[in-house]
Amino acid sequence: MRTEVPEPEEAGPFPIGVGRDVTERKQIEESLRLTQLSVDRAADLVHWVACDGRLVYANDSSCRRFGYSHEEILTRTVFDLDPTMTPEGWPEHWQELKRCGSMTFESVHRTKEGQLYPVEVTLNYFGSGGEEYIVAFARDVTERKQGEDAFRESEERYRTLFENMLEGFAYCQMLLDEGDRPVDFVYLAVNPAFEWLTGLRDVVGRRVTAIIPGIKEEAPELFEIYGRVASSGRPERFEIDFTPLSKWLDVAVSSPGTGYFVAVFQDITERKLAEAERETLREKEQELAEELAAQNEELRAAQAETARLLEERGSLVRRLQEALLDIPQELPGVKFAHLYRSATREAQVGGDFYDVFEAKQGRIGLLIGDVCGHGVEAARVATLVKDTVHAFAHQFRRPHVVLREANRLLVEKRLPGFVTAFLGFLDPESGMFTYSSAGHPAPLLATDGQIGLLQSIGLPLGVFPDERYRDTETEIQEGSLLLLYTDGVTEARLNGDIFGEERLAEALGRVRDRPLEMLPSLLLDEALGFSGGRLEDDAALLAVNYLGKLGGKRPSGREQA
Amino acid sequence: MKVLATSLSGVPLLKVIGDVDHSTSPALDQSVQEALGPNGMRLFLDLADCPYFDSGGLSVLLCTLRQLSGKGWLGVIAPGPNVLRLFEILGLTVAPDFRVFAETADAKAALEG
Repeated sequence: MRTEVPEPEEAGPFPIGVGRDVTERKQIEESLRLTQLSVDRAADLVHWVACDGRLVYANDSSCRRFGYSHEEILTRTVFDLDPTMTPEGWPEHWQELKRCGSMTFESVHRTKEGQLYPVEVTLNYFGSGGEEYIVAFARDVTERKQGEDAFRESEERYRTLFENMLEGFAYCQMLLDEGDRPVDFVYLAVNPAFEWLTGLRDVVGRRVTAIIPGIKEEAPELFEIYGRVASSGRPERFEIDFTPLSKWLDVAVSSPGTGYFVAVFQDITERKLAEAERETLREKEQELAEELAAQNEELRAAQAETARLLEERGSLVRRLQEALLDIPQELPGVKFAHLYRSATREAQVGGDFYDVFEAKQGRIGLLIGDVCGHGVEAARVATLVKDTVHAFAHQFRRPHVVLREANRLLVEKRLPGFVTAFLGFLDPESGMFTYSSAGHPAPLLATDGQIGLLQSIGLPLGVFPDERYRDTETEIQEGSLLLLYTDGVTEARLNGDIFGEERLAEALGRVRDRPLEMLPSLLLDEALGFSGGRLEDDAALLAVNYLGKLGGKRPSGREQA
Repeated sequence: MKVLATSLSGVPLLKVIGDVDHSTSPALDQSVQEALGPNGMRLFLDLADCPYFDSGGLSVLLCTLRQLSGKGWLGVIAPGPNVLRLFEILGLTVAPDFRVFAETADAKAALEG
């Protein structure tokens, strides 16, 4: 904007031109007045400065902004209004402007009150007829400056954030092929975190495929997502196992404009590892729990099976034991009572057996024996011995022959361990008792007040194939009592001592007159009383009362040999 | 039960200390087998400190006797009365290959005699 400069000496603010005729002059005056008005009322600050720095004109805006009246402001110099101007620097400034003709710069104005505000100033040199002026246009740029400062602060703030944020930041341009498919992207800006999170340096301006070869193959989904966001503008967030860097990344991607995207990401590898570890632990716990449950199930099944087997075996054992100890209720000429008790330490079938049976020539066979060992095998052997003796007893009339044959059979069968046995044949007619022992404890014979041992010496059955046994013969008195037993009775222990034959004989003496059927249990009680209730081995007792020649009727038709 | 392996005039001697029952008889059996070896013919058992034999222990003696039968013998030294009675009942004391000595000196004398 150019304005004609009036004569400074003139009182009025209006510059006066000289026209050739009135009409023309009037027109010029109109124009001048309009111009003057425009300048006076212009929003920008307009003032003229003389070469000595004095103000020779200031428009309304200028007066208002500086806070001076028209009269006051014309008494001021440019040095009052603009603190950046000094009288010392003024001549040079003037010359500079004169050379350039015009210049625009930012400066500061000072109001009458001393307030400073930023301005943008355009100065124009005007020289005419020896007079020189600066025509200055100034604009208060306080608001613009504030906006700029705010922007700069904001920019600064974001820059700081960008530089210092822990998340990696990458601003990229997506490159598309002819079919608008994303094929590559170029890094336009990255922050320091990007570099130390990825370990990648100097990526700006380069294609990602050049920086991380194979990225498209290893992380195709990354391309897909970036491409989608760059074209759609819709932000996405995802976690990715970024194998090229061996890291788990949490990526938030957005697009500032079509074809561009910003990826903000953090390294969540540790979190993922911890999660994976927790998951592994959880799986292991689960597996263990399942295994445990399965084992418990197996255990329950095994327990049930064991219980079933035990029950089955228990019943088998009971049947075996019953078979072993199954003897007739009565036979002519004798009364008997018997008892069997398992060893304390294992409540299972033992190898003890006894029998009272009809033998050759109407005699009564008395058998007791003990298989070394316990359990079903011992019971099986006991059954075998019992049956064998039974069978031979019908064939041979001498007990030592029966034992010899039984021994031979057992040795042939190669039995483990051995079997002790006592076998006697009682002739109820004569009272003659013939007996033989194969390593078995000697039975007791109680006659009247006397108690003796029926000794007969021989090795157990099943050890030596050619072992020979001996018979001993004795006449039994009417009313006498024979007590056959196994060593479980006499071997009942207390502190290293055993119940033994003598104590058993004494006990028999004490209970001799009690009812026969009570004797076995009374005698066992004596043994248990000695040992404190403990049995080392199975115990069997067979008490036989000889009723005498008149005591029983002889079965008819018996053959005498 | 403990078994101490020594020898008497060149014949292996096992000193048995403690009960020979179902739980210890396997150990006695093993000691006897080690003392005899594959070709052993004679063996002493010192039973002075062995108060008790159960059927398992007796089984070891019977097996040993069977093993030695006809070629050697088994000697027991100083068995207590209960144990000796057991041996008698079992018929061992009349078995030709089973010898009973009241004390070690008797056993030694028997060897030298």
